[in-house]
Amino acid sequence: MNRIMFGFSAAVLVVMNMTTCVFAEGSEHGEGGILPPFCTDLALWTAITFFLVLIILYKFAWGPIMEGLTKREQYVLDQRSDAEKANADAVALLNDYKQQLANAKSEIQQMRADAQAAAEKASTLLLNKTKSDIEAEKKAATQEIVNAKVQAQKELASMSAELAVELAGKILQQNLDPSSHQKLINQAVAKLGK
Amino acid sequence: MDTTQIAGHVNDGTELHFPFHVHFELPEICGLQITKFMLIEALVALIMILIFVPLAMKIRKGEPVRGWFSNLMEVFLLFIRDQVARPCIGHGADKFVPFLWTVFFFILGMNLFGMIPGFGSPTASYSVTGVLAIIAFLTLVLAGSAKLGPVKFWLSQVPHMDVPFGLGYILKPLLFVIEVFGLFVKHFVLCIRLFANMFAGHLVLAVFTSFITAVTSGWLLWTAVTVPSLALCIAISLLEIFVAFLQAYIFVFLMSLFIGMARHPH
Repeated sequence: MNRIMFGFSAAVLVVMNMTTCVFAEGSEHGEGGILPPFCTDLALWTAITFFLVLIILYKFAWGPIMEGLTKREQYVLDQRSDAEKANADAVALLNDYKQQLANAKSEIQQMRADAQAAAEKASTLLLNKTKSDIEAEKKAATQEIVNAKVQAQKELASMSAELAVELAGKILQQNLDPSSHQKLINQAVAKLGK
Repeated sequence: MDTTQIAGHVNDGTELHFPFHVHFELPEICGLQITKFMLIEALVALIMILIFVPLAMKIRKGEPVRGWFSNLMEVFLLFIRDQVARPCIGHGADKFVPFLWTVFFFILGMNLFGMIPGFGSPTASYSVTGVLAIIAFLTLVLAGSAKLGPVKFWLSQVPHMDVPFGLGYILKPLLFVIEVFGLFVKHFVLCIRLFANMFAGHLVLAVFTSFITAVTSGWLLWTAVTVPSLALCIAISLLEIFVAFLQAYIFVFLMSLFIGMARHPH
């Protein structure tokens, strides 16, 4: 590269020595027309400057810049690819969770329905049992009442008979005036009440 | 001040004129007279090196750069690579990107120097734009020859034709001459476009400025001429800044297009 540069520069300098600028011969401000004169020196200077700056920048600037930009581009592409992959994974995971959630919901609904049915069944059974128990207790209570009534009637009858016998005995033993008679009756009723 | 004198301030010269009558005579080195445009080109080259070599150190590792200027420069670099080189040249465009970067920033720098008082735009000289066009032409020939081979490259200048037997022997050489001539014309136009745009813009600026110096008597007349001239100069200067970027872009864009056409003729 240096050899090429040197050769090129040498060739340019040789040509430059053979040529001159039009304004350099006489004019300070481009005398001789409105258009600028063609200047071989300037043309060659332009070519040399351009190639020198191209070579210097190619070596010290454009190369590293291209490398850096390519690296960054690759990094961005990788990041995007990773992000897309992560996004796809996240979407799959989300769908999976959604499916699980849907399954859980239907399971919960089924469980609730089962529980409700079981509860209703248990409730019905309990109600029926309670009803039958109450009925039985009621029957038993009625029976007890009837029995007690019969018993009470029997006792009442027996006591009445006893009292009647006792009263008759007393009547037979003493001659009672009306007030005594009434007193005896009251005593007998009071006894019956006990 | 006649038109020749006005143009003289736009053209190349051996002196640097700055405001307040400050001027420098440029030296002669080893028999070579250094001119204003030569100095500007050297300054542009130096500035490019001073900007891009440190920038390369920042970008090298692939990390994002920090700072507005570095980011601005990177925007230009990426624009040339992604919006100009790759779409226009196609496959293998990255090989040409450093070259296109150099052309773009070299032209842009020279264009923008014209906006600094006392300096000028070397691109307002066809001695400069002609060389750039020749470089573009040689790049096209080398790029096409490297891709297709030298013979095939030149033969590919003739478009494919389905013509009756025998007619092709007459038409194809004619077309070859026309197409090759067209190739030269395209690059000649590349040279003239850049030169004419920059030269005309600066000439217009110089003409508007010369109106002020043309008025020699009467402060009322002087004010009446100076204020609009100054306003127009500011407006044209803003336009010139835009043109500086636009012409650098157009040059590189057309150059990429020509390289792409040379590498992929059909």
